[in-house]
Amino acid sequence: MRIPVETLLNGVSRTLLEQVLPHVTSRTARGQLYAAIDVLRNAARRLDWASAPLETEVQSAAGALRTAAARLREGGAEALAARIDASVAAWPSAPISARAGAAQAELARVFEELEALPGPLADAVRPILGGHLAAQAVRALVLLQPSLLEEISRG
Amino acid sequence: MIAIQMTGIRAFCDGRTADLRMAIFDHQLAFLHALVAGLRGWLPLP
Repeated sequence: MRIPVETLLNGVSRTLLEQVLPHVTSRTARGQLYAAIDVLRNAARRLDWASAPLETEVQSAAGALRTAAARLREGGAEALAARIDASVAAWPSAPISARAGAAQAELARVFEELEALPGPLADAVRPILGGHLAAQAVRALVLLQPSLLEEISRG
Repeated sequence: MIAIQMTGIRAFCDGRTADLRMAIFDHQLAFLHALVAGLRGWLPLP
């Protein structure tokens, strides 16, 4: 997840307060809405994303990047391999959201750097990183709740 | 589409919009990531 929990919950509070509340006329409903905003505001600083999915993502990314570095080393791209290994080793130890952010940034950087390599070597490395990205996409999809996109677009 | 969704996410994070339809992109992106992975051959498409 790219939006910090505190930012997300404060954004929901702000939208309820500014865009929903003015249209609620029932006294009871307004009280419930104010209570929901109060709950969200107070929860925002106490909650964070679940760490287990982020731990899994970081371990998967680190494994893919180290495997990619080994393949690059075999193909003669020693400098890039060393840079990747050093980067992975330098990811922040905590919080886990920062480690995941560093992993995502490193993956994006490596994909860009592969553009400068000979085609066959880059073509051999991309699926290694792609395997992680595909698995990560599936892991994210598994966590999704049934979509309300139709209701959102219909209003 | 991914660029559009990332722009929405950044706008929400920066407080430039309180439109919650931007916030849902944060979890909806997984669908586009899976599609890209499928098109690249990294994930079998259904």
